[in-house]
Amino acid sequence: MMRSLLLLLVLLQMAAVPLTAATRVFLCSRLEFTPALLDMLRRSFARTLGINDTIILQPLENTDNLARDASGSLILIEHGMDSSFLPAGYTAVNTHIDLVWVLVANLRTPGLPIERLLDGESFMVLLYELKKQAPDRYPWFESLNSKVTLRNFDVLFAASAGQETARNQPIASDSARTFWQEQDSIVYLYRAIEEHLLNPFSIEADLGLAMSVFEANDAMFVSQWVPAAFLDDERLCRENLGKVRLLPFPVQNNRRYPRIRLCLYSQATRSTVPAGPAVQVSDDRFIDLDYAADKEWIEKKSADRYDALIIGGF
Amino acid sequence: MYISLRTKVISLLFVLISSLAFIFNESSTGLIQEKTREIFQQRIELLLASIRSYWDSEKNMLLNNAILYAESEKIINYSTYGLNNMLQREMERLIAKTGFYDLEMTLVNGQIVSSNQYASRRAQPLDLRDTRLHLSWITLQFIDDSLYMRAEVPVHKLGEFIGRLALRRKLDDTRLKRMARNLQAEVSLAVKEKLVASSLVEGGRQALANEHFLNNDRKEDIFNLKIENTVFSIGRVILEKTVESDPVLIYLAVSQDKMLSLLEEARSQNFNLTIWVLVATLILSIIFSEKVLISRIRQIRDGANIIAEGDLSFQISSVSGDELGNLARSFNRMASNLKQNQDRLQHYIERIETLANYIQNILGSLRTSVITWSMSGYIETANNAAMLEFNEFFSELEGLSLHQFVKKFKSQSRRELFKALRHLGDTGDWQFDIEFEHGEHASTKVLQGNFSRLLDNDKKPYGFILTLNNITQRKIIEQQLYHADKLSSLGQLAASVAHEIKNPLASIKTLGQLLQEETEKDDSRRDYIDVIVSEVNRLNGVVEQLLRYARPEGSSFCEVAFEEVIKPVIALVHHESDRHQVALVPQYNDDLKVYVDPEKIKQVFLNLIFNGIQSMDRGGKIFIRAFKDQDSPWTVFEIEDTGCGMSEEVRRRIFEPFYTTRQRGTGLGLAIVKKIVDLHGGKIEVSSEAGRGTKFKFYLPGRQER
Repeated sequence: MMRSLLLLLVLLQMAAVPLTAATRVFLCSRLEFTPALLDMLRRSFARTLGINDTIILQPLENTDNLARDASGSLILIEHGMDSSFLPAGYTAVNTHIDLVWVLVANLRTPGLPIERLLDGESFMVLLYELKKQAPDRYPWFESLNSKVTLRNFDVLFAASAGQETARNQPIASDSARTFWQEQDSIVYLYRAIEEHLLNPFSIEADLGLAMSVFEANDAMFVSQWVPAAFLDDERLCRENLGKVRLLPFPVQNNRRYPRIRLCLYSQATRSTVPAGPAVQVSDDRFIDLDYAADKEWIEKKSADRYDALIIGGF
Repeated sequence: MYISLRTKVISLLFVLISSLAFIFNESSTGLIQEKTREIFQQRIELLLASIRSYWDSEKNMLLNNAILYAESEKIINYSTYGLNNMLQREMERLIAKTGFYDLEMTLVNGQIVSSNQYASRRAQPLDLRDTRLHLSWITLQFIDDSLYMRAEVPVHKLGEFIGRLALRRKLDDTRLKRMARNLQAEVSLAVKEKLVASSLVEGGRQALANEHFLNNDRKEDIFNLKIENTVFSIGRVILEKTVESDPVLIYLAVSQDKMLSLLEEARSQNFNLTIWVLVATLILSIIFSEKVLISRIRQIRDGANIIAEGDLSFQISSVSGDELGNLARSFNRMASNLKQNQDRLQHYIERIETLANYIQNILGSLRTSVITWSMSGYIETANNAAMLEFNEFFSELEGLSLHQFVKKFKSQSRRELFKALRHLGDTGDWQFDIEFEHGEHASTKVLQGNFSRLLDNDKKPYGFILTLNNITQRKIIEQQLYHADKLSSLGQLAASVAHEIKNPLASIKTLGQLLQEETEKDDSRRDYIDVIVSEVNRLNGVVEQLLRYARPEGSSFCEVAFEEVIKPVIALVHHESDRHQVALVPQYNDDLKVYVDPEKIKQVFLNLIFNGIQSMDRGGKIFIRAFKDQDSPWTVFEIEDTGCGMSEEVRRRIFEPFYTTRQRGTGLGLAIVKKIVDLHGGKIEVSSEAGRGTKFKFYLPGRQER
């Protein structure tokens, strides 16, 4: 009798294992992962790898206990990061997830069609129109307290200008130009704030707050990281961002999206991870961010750029 | 009904202590009730006094929260930078689960963002010149039958006024229940005629609403209200006014159940305490009564029992100094006195017994019967002589009434006795004779009586004494003397007459015999002559018997066998008995000897047997018995026939001379028998029953007694 009961319990446990199996994935990246971003990343990851299991994404704040915590888990490491901290046995799998930095436009405001290709001027027109409709509110919100956001703008303006990186000090503003015509990202942002188009509170906002403001419908535009795969099907964003349009940030003639790549590492014994594209394929829709250069910029220039944004006086 | 002393003592103690306990219980319970009600009243008053401070604390808490929210960085930033939705979300988050009704931000531009409204609305821009915008205040709002407490505070960002934040709390049932928990009293709020919120349940809420509606005079007071079988003490105060200047009343209701239950508990505890005290007292009473009282009383009781059993020397050993000790000492003194008195009494009793025995011996030795009566007419004492005299009729004389006593006496005797009794108080000696029949043959006993008065120690009449002397024998002797005297005279007369008759009879007989000789036998006169001669002979026999009876005769006594006496008699009468078909049945022992004059006794038997034969015309039996009476010196002789018997009259006169029932009898046969028996010093009795026979029984004394 007891034997039968024990056997039944063992069988039930064996049967229950696949139901409760979860794939834990540690994230190592420069980004701040908001809940919405993590959810979008999880769904994209599941689609990419074809995993039906529950996927638990866990941003890694420090790598000290990784060897102990990550045993049996997968690890996503931003391309360009030093992977020496990985526990022994972890090797790169030819699988990656791309995240792109986009301007998310809210399509819930009636009467304001958002074209798929929005240039700087159109963007400004939209902002003014929105400001006109709600003078007390700001149509655009950014996470300017985030050094990653500042770096993205810097890269984007540099790319538009054909430079490697932006200058150390912002160039002086020409009052004859509208803000969208500014050549420097800081001046651009500063003047947008001065024009009451960009919410001044953006200076104190991080990625999470910016996402919350956007979700609360307190801003029509906000820059966000989304899986690159979602660019082709914006409906994938609806679960997290609502009815939106993903746009390359309309700086001058920009048509590209800054992109980072998260490469998957797995323990050698794990055989369930299918192989993805082996190498990064060049795509002119994206600007691949250089982790090392970005890190250096963040370390050496981000503080000055942020101060310039606060102080102004261009 | 017997109730022991212990039960009485314990019952008394129990009643006393239970009464005291009851009084204590009632008074203490009453005091507790009074104090409890007083405290309860004070509590209501205290609650009413403290409700204002509690109300103030409520307002302060609301205001503090409003200030806290107004200082929230997010609130300020979201308000400043037009993030209205974020502001609304933040406000929702802030007051979520706080119990506040809503949080509302009014911006300088008139934009109003409220936590419980989906979209913000716009009002008139704030007039920044109004200095009141920088003040904080709390107001009460009565909206749609609901009361709200609203705290409004200014919001600044870096010292610049950006709007006003209003925090509202709806004073609903939930809030009042919380207040009720804190105040430990039911709380209700009323505005105008409505009870807007209450911590009471529906029934109580309705009752209070009715009360408020009926007595909506807005006065502060304390009253009682019965709500669903529960009495509440209710205090009412006016807290303040709404923004529309309507007074806000608060009702504080405190159930008296707890107080009543406390009182009941106190009463119960008092009662239990009383019961325990009573039980303890009862136990202590039992122990106390046993140790201190009962055991010592039992000692005295045992001593009394010992004394009652006769041991008057008993003394209680342990004597204490209290009342029971005094009792024990008194008991010991009593025992000592009893002992002395007993000794003295014993001495008197012995003397009295000696005297009584002496008197009893005197009375017992008397041949005179002495009987005493009480005044009630019942015999109290009777001496031995009296008992012997009347033992045939009464087994016990004592207790007999006078009438029972005299019932056996002859009527003449009773009359004489009562006559003497009536003259008991007279002077003179009233003697009387009592006659009654006794014995198997109903012989008459004669007693000479005399009554005398019996006095007690105070010389007062106590009863009377009857003394009786048996004079039967004396009477018999007197009668015999009279009879003898009569016979003696008769005998002398008969002898002289017989002597005078005898000579002519001799001449007549001689002449008659001569005539017989001279007359032929066939002469018709010869029969007459024979009759003359025969009758002369018979007359001559009668004269001879008469002379024999009257003649004084000497006696010749000797001891002879009875058989020598009776056999010649039987032989002599044999012929006559056979002729009358009478069987003679002698019954005696052959060795029986008698001391008699044989010839005279033969004459006795001869006369008696002839008498019996002549009484039986159709034959019969004659029993001849002789035997010695073992209990007396007498020799008893019986001649019993089965003849016709005799009447009482005949029986009484049968021994008289010349008394006869036969036509040709002389009437001297049985008179001669009695004379011979008397000559022997004996006595003769006759008993007869008509139709069944007659028995003669005579007693002759033995040789020594004669």
